[in-house]
Amino acid sequence: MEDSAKPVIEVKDVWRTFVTGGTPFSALRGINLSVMPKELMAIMGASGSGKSTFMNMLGCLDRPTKGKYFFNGIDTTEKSNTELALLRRDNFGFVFQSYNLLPRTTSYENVELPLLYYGYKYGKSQRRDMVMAALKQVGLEEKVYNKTNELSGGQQQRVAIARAIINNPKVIFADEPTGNLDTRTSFDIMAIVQSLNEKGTTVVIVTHEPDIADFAKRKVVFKDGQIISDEPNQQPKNAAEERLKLPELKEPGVAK
Amino acid sequence: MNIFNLFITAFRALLKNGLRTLLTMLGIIIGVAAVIVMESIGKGSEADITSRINSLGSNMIIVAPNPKMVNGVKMGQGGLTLEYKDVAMIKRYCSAVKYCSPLVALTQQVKYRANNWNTRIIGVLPEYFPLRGMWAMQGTTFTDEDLRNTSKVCIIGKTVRDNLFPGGQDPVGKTIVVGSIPLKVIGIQNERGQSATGNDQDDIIISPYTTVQDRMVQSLYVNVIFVSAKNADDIKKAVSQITYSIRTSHHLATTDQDDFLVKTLADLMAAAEGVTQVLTLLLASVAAISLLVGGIGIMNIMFVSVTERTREIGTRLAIGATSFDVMWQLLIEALVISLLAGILGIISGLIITKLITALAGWRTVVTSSSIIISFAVCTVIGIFFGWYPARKAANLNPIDALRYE
Repeated sequence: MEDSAKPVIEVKDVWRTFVTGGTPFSALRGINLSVMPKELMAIMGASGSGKSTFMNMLGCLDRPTKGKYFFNGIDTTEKSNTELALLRRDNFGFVFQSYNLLPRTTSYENVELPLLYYGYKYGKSQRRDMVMAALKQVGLEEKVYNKTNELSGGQQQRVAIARAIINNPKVIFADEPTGNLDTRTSFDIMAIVQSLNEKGTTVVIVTHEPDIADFAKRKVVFKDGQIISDEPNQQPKNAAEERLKLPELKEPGVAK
Repeated sequence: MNIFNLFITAFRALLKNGLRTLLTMLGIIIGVAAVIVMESIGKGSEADITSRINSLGSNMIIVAPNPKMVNGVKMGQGGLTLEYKDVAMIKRYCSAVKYCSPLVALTQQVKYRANNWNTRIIGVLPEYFPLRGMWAMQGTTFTDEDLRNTSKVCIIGKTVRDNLFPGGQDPVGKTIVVGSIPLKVIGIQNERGQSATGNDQDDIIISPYTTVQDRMVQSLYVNVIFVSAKNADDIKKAVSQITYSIRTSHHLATTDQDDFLVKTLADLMAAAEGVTQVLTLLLASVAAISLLVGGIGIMNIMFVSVTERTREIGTRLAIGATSFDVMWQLLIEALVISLLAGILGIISGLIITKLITALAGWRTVVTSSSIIISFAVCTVIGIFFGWYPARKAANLNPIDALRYE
């Protein structure tokens, strides 16, 4: 358990400054943060607080203007774009608010996509096994060959999660994963996220919904580019249990 | 991504916009088809001309009169400077020469009973027949004996036969009257069709040289001398031997200019090929413009495609695609468009070529080089015009691409 003693993410005095129309604006102002393996961390804050910028930085989709970001002890600020792409491929999984699935392709093809960027590493049958396992993990084994436009929002997000876990990532970054979903589906998605976390994956989730943040083990709150609170959640709620507590919705026409 | 998956991805992306892809390809399809058609027509007419010129006889050399300058005034063609003694000289001293025959010619009205016809009568030696690759398809040709005896015999061409002997009469053995001289028809010349210059080579009467010379033209001069070299490699040698022989025979001083011209078939062919080459070049430039326009079309559609798929590219970058992966994906897409268009262009070019041959009756020759060149050009177009949009996609910032609406 030596590995778990070292932070998987370590951010030191990170600034991110955008220049729009000649005026500089710092979305992140000297952030310091460490994330230990197997954490389930929620980043909260109002829009414009810098939480999304911060997550993009953690996901190596963006670079800090100033400061250092160590992933697994590696200084990512020194890496080239191609090295960062390979780092993302091997270590990260991304889940987006609007799913970002490829249009008019099947669940299978979407989930398989990250494996294709490994060149010849995975053969066709191996890819098949991995895709099936990932889709099973999110409970979508019935919808393997459905095109993404034939799926509901919740199902699409589950495809996206399957795509994010196909490379067995160290960290999953989820940017408002439940932002487009109703409460029941949101809880279903969070149940999947929690189960992934229980199996050992570190999860960083950006949300502005307190309900969703309650499922995390740690809550970090951003305001104006700075962390204003960083507290462990002593008793994270269990999404699967919460889902069962929700009352059944009765449709007016169906009620007897 | 490995190359196989890149191609699959490219095909899928193109199939999703099937109609758009097809329209994009149209420019290239037309360009390539034009290249194939032009090339095959050009090569076809070239082959046509070559075979017509070759039908004049193999390894043939023509000696024509070229009158001396008189006080700096050239007397023009058709002047008479060649005589039978030049032929004798060539036969005697030119080792590279196989056959040699003078030719005298005149145009006369010919009659057989109620039918008459205006045609050309030529007087030649018996070896004129093998020299020109001619024979009698009916009856025989004349002999050296006929030549010595100035026999009143002739071989007639098919056109003459059809006009003097309508209704399928057998002319062999009949006597026709040329001007005022009666000539016995002893044979019919094999059909030769049109010459390279469009003359009907079957509208002719051939008699022994002596007969025409003594009984009809009554002149010492010959119109032209036909010579054939022993083989193709001997043509140059034969030309210099002939030139030397005739200069000697004409007693020309070293400072005098030749009063004759020695032309080989190669000269004739070069002139004819020059014409077709200019034509081919012109048509090729039209095709090149079409290919350029087609290429710009591909670039345009690739830009649209990059813009349309910005979010998709962002997603791919996020899940681990490198900018090289993205660039290759789009480059191969452009390549697939242009190569597919190339294949379709080649197919339609071949079909059009066949149609032209079938409908217009033009001779066409499809060369493998034109197909290979079309393919190569399409590859270059795909890479050249796909490069910039692909670079643009590869340089997208993942975040901007993901946020793109």
